[in-house]
Amino acid sequence: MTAFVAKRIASSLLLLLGLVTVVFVIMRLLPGDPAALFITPTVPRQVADRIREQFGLDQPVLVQYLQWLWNALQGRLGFSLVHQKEVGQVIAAAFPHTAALAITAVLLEIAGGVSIGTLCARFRGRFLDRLISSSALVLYTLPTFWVGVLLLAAFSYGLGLLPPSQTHSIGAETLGIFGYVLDYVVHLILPAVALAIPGAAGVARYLRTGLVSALDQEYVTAARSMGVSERKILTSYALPNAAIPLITVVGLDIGTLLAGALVVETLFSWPGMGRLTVLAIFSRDYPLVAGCALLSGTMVVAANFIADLLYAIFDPRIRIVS
Amino acid sequence: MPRIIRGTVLIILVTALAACTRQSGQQGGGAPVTIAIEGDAGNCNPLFTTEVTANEISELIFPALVSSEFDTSSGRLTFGPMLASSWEERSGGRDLLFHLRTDARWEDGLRVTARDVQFSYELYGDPDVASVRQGSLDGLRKTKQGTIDASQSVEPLDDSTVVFHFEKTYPGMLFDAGLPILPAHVFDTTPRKELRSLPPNARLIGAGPFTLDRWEPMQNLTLRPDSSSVLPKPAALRRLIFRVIPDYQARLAHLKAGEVDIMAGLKPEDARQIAGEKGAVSVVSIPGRRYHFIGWNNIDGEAYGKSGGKTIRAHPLFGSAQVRRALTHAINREEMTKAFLGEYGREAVGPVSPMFRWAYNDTLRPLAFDPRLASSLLAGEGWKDTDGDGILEKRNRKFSFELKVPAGDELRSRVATVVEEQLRAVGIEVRIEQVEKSVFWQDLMQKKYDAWIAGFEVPLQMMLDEFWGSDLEKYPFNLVSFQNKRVDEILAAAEGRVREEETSHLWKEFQSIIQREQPCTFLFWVDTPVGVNKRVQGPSIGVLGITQQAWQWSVEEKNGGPGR
Amino acid sequence: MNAAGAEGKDSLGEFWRWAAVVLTAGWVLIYIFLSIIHSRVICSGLVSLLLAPVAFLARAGSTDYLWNTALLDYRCAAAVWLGSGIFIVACATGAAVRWKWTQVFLQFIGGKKAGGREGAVLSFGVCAAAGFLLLAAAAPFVAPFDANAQGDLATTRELRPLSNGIAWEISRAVREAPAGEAVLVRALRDADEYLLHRHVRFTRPGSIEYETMLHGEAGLRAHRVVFLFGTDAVGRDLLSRVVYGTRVSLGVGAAAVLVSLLIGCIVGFLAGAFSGFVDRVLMSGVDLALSIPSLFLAVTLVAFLGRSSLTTVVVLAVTGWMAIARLVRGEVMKVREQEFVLAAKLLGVSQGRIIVAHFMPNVLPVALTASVLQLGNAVLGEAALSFLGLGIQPPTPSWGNIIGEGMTSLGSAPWIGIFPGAAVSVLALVSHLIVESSQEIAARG
Repeated sequence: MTAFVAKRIASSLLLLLGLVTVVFVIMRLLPGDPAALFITPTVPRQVADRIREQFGLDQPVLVQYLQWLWNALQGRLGFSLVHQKEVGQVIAAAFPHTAALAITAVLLEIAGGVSIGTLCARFRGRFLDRLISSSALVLYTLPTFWVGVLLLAAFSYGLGLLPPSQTHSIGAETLGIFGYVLDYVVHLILPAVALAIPGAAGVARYLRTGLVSALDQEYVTAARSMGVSERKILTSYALPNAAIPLITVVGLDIGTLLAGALVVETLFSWPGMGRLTVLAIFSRDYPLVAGCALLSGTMVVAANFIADLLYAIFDPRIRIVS
Repeated sequence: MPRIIRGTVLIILVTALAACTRQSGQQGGGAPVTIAIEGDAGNCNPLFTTEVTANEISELIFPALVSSEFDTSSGRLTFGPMLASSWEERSGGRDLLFHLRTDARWEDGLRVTARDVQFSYELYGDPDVASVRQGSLDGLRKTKQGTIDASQSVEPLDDSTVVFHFEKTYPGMLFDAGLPILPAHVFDTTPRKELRSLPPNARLIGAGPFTLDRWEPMQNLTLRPDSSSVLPKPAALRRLIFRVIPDYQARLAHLKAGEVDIMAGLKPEDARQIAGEKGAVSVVSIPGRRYHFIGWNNIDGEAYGKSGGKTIRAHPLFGSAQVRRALTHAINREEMTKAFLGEYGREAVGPVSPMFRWAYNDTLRPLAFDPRLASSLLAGEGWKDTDGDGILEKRNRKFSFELKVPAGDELRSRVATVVEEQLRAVGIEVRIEQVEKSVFWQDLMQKKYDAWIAGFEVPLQMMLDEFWGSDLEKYPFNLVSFQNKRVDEILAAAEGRVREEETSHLWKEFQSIIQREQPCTFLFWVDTPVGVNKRVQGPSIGVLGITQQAWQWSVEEKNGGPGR
Repeated sequence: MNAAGAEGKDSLGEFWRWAAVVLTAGWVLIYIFLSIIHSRVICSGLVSLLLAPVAFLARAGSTDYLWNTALLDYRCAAAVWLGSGIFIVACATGAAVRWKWTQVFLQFIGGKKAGGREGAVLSFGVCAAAGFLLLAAAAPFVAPFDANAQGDLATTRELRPLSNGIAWEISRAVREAPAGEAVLVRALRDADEYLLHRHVRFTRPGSIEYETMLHGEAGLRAHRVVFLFGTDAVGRDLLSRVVYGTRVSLGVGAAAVLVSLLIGCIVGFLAGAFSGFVDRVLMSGVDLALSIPSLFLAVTLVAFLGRSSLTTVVVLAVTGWMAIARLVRGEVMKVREQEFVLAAKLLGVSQGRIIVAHFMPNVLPVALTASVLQLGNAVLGEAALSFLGLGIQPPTPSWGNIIGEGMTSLGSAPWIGIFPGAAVSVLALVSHLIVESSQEIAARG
């Protein structure tokens, strides 16, 4: 078991290093540079050159790379050119919002998907099952941003029930802690739902298939003949077995979400990692891009790793094989 | 299970109700005024400010020698005393002697002296500091070596007198002498090279009507009155808050709900709707200093670039003024202005804004929208469709080009779409390409583009040689590479005269020449509609900036909190 | 799908069967309807299609008319239209002549041969996909107007769906016919000129332009039009844009999938065939590629290569080959272990023959299925990219950038965002249906 864990950690770290190097190289190859931000009719050319010099952009790429790597290992990710502060601070301001959105979306996914999937398996073959399964298929293929657009048009601009953007209303600081949290949650609903719907549909379909096959197993028939209630069979016998493969699915999902659900963030003006990364790339804010790539890569890799780990813990067969 | 669900729902509902009633009672007595801004104000140190908001904030915190006011009836910039109580010209107008007030103090109690003025200008001009306002010192007297040294050209005679030595007279002297002044005793302890890396908004010790109360990066920035200020007096508001709301729709929603008081940059349709509602929000329109245009590269950019700037040849498509006039005739600018801007914009005839009444040539009318005239003008230049594919040719060259638009600008995108269609109708093929902003400006300055859509904000001083001077090396912002001898003469003649009345006829002639030559197709002047909640009382918002007179604002107290 | 619920499920199979039949009948009716409405354009297109090679062979005049892009577009669309017409007529004739053939065909659609529900779903999916392809190929005839035809800004902006307006045909002076031109060539020229100069402009009563046109020159033809999907912010018909957008989105998606397929097959084959070091290196490459968030990669590539259709294809291909590579690798490894392959190797059969005879038949179906799924993803990806402004650039319509342009008017004109999004969703749904049902059928039989 420890060998397995150690091997996975090692390969994950290597992967991260490769990722960061690739990102670094790509960014440096891009045309245009951050000093272009400051060019206006009134700014003389020497100023732009001086700014470039002050941020060490005139040194060879390899030197910049090694310097950045060395600083990163010590925890100093650099100075953002656009935001004029430490990259760590900028990311720390944006990441919690992404995390909140991702976690809420995944929780909604799991809750929705599991309950619907179980419902379908319970009434398999009947009208309800067929209706929900077909709708799940449709919902699963919906693009997230279109779901977002529909939700916005319906609930925000149409009915005016929910706020269309941002994380809080004006004056939210005056609310006191509970009110502030509630305000945040209200703003979180639409984007999280937009992200969760396709995911929940996928989870539901996946779970339904797993449950149906689990319910056909002999031990279930045996339990049924022993008089165990249908409900208990579902929750205690079939569900745990069917849920294991879900770990991988959800793990992948949460990894991607933590990396920043860019389109939804743009749609709802959610100040998260996705928007930050895109803006950074377009303003050629190299240190910030490198920091963001590092963080999102770490999220994906870590999520995969944890998912694999949990899978191995719950399913002894995997352990034996690897 | 269901019981728990019911209970949770109940609790959530109750708290939601409680949250909704949070408005009243929180904002009594000396309420703050909130301004919604799109991006973080960032660093408000006047040495480094690039954003408009940061500029305005720095001018509220830090004093300047003179205060400026824009007289809308004549369109002239006038100056009044601020840190300087009076000033006089010396040496035939080349030197300005300022008498400083003796009662002005920095927030920490020390007097504002002439040394502070000199020190500030040294910082502005120092290449190690790399301030963005370095250009303001270009008019100062040069040293024997030909460089600019503020320590010599800005001379404190004693604690309350300072002399500015200029190279020669020019209209913008007082403007350039009006940069925000920083406290020497606060900033001279840091090596100049490191000033840029100081934490943003650190040590903002000023002497103006406001001072920095609190700054939450990316969220809000709060100013409070500086009770000891005499420049001109402490602000009447309790707080002035700049709140960051990146999304336009969110800003608008908050303005309508009364949660922010001021929002600039309303879209015309929204401004119209708010003004029509006659509710708690009124709309003030700041007359346009910003114009949009379609730039035609007058010279062959490729040849220019390849030869390192030596070969200046007329552009094969746009080199002829008649062709450029034809293009303008083919584009319906009036319709676009009406459709996209409504009453918050007006058709542009040239680069001089109509708000400068003393210089604007109001006898000129925009070229009429007449596609048939355009076709005949083009035919007159030899452009005919010989092979029937719908595109004009001349000597085996098709009239086809790429129109570059900076990415992410909705207005310009729409304009480009309309332009493409209207030019297609006269036989010109346009391919629209969106380019990232940073790349766009870089390439544009290197004259790589044939046609593009861009915009400029004109300075309040009529100094246009940057944009229209024939020396392309010296004036990189002459993007269209327009070269005309008479225009150069006019610009040179206007440069030396300080009094605007003397130059009025020159500028009117300038506009006629531009009209005739059409170096670019001017589209429209954009007014900036600003939504202001009626509870904010005080001087109306003007051209110089939203918060320029903010120290005079007060809040009309209404019971029950802002309407929702 | 176990037998326990088979009878209950058959009604769902019935549903899909009827859906397929209705869909086919619907396409036929739409085909006939459009042929009638756009008869003049279609005739001109057909004339141009048939006469162009004749004129070329007869060496009459310059050959510009062959390679003009817009004309080529019309001719291809005409070819597709003609082909579909012939297909429909052949089916109808076949049905009339030999009822048995029809029965077999109906059974295929109904899915008895292919096994019940899955067959029905598959046929529905195939019909729907064929419909999209027809839409894309014959866009000039399906779309009521050109994608860029605009209107008088004052009155035709952001009109609701089912609004009406007036379309003026802006004709231009046509070239004089040179003396002694052959009849064939003249017919061709007339057809081509009609196709090229079919400009329209929209107005509505109440605008200055409407008055000008009304009292202006005689001979300007006008007709009432209905904007089925409404208009966008600049006065362009949304339905036309969505139809032309089908071309762009499907085209870009298909190109991206082809490239992904190529890369994925090569990588997967190499990894599966030469296991060991090569396999590990290639698979770590796949992992690396997978761990870069795809939108991040997309944004960076766009910043690098500029925004254009080619870049979009590259981006979609680069983010999509990984799944195919993994599948192909798995399949190749499975086949490798089969006994007949080992036997063939022992017998000294050449590598090439082994690949063709043994690997291809097993690997290709898997790769193809993965590509169909990838097509759905590619179209979704293109929509997301164009929505963000990084994909297909306006004014070329693509489903994604129409939604993107509609974002700012979401409060006032939500239909701009809703219709193209529906199209994307339907296409993604169809690709999923096809893939899943064919997987079920393959697993079953």
